[in-house]
Amino acid sequence: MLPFNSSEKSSESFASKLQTGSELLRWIDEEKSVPLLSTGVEALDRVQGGGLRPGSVVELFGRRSSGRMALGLAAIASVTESGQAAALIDLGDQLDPHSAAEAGIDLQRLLWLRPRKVENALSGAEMILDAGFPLVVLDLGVRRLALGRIPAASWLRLARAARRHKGILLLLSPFHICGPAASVVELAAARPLWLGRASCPLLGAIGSSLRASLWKGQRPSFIGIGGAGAAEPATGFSAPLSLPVHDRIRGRK
Amino acid sequence: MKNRIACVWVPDFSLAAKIRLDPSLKAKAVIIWENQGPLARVIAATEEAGRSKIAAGLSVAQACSLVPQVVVAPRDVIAERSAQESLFEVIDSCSPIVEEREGGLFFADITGNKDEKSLGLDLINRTEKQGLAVRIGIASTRSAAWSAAKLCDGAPVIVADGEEGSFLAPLPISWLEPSELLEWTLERWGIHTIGDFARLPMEEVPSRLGEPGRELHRRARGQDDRPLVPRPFGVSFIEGLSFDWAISQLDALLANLAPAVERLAQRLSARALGCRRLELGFQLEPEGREVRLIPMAAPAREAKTLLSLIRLELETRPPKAPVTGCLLAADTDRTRSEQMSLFGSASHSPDQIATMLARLSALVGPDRVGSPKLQDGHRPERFAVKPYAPPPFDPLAARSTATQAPPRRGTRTAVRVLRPGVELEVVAAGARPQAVRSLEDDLPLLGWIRTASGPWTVEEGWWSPAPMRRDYWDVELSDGGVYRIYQEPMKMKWFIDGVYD
Repeated sequence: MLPFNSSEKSSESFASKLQTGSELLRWIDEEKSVPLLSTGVEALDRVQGGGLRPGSVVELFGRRSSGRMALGLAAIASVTESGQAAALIDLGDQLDPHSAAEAGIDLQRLLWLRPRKVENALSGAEMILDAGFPLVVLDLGVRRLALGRIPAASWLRLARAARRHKGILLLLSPFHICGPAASVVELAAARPLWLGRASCPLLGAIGSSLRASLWKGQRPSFIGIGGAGAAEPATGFSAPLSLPVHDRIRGRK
Repeated sequence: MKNRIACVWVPDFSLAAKIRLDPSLKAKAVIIWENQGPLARVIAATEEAGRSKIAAGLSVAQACSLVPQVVVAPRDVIAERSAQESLFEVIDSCSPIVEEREGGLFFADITGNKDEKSLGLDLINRTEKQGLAVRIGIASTRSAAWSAAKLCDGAPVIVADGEEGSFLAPLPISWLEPSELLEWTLERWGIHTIGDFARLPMEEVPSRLGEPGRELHRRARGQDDRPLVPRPFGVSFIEGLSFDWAISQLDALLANLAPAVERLAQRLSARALGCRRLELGFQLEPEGREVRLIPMAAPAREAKTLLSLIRLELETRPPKAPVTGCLLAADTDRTRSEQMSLFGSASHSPDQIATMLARLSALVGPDRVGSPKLQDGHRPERFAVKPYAPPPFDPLAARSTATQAPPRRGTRTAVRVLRPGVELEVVAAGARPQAVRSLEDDLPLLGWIRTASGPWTVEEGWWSPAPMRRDYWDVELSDGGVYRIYQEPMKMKWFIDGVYD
């Protein structure tokens, strides 16, 4: 039997977490009025309802050559062009500074972190989000990683940090890993476009497509208030993506 | 205009330096000793100890027998050094020429200062905030100022210009700091006061006492023309302390360092400077020394920031042995200031960025945090990293992404660079690759090549002993990925160094 005082306190703390209907609607309006971050890539902006929402975690997952890195760099370029700082947590140490410069990134405003372990990458992401960076891109690379050891609570913690400081965590992953903490975009397999003769082809572009999968159990968004339930794709938005290749080695643009 | 000199003196400096670290000692019976073994002697004692007849020169055993509960503390040279620096800093801010002597004694040129009493009181107040009680004497000669400081009791003692002779007259001859031989000679002559010595005929003194005697005689008459010798280097921000016993626990070490870090931060703030590199020196037990250098991405002066950096450094690389003393030295620079803006998003404060960068450096290593930098050359994997130092945010010049979408520039494919390249086993028909297999487990790669574009030769450093020559291919594998591979013709080896993504 609970002591009289503790039940008073528990009912008070419970009451503080409740919202009235009008408060909830006001919160939804406030969420809608937050300006979205446009990445400059029409396909990605379209599947995210106009852009990346501050205070959220967005996961882009797909196989190799699906365009993850290019989309991550485009989002960073969009932020640095507006005079703000962005961070790239490069777990595989795979950033090519020349690709970044060609994507339009102001390299002086880009904080590049090259951790060797997944745990350090997650800790670094939280530190940078807590420092107030508007965009943090966490790239898990293409090498095989022991990602199974990451507890699901880590992603919820990062989502809380993003929400607290109104930052965006953009996760680039080879497979879906974030669980219900993130808004998920799936990239389809690459379709390279070869130009020229068969005996001497030239890589012209890499095509892909984006599919946004919004999982149930997530906080209500512009789609509408969703009920609690098993995590399954509620709906999907697709958009094609074509990424031309700049051939630095050959000096061809 | 006649020179005016202020003498700033801390009596019993070794005791004062110790009390500065632990003010609670002031009310207790405390003795400071130096030398080892049977030569250990008391060099200073608090007032409380003095009431029990403990004085300088007694052995430690004698002092303990007089007051059994006396606190016995060894002389702390590191604490004295930081107290000396702290004192110099305060005086340096009031005078362009400061002569430093050991043991907390300074002479400062204050010529032209109209209100000497206020200056003296200001120095007393400011040094008190640093934890040191000073005595101030002001006169036109060094000897008179020094003697006046000895007579100071709370308020500064000021000797008017021209009255140095009469001021010094009743004082003992030892206050002029004569040599031992001179003092003994004058004692034998029955000359005990400065006035007695000054009354001796000026032309007779050099023939009986030589040049040192002549110099002493001039000073006794209030004629001291020796210029102040300024300290050659600027202010050093040093704080340190010795521990009564060796500390091996990290938490205990940090708890003992915290007051020193706070004092250092206060001194930096007083000068509007930040620390851009912190040097940590540890005295180890039984002997040895260890030095750590903690660079900062941006000059910082908050005690909390400095302490967290020290904690991160020591957690990553703890000292090799128990620590018996510690010295903190700060390389200083002006702190970055940024004009905050009413519009747009708030930019980060330099202190916040410095702390974040320091924490990230401790997490992943200082060489793995920074901004990418373009590098000239032909190797595709080349890169450089420079310290992260973004330009200030300019909300008027920048385009707001909320109200105006960035131009659709046509996003290009990026290349993921594999550093170092992963060796491949390649099946080739002639020079053309047909199938590949990766020889590294964490990058599984196996498949037939659907399309291959190349070769494109890249050479670099043909003049060097190890020139680079690679034949590059863009390949589409049966697994759907598009990769960049190359062959080193000289070694007949294949590598993959890029993934188009």
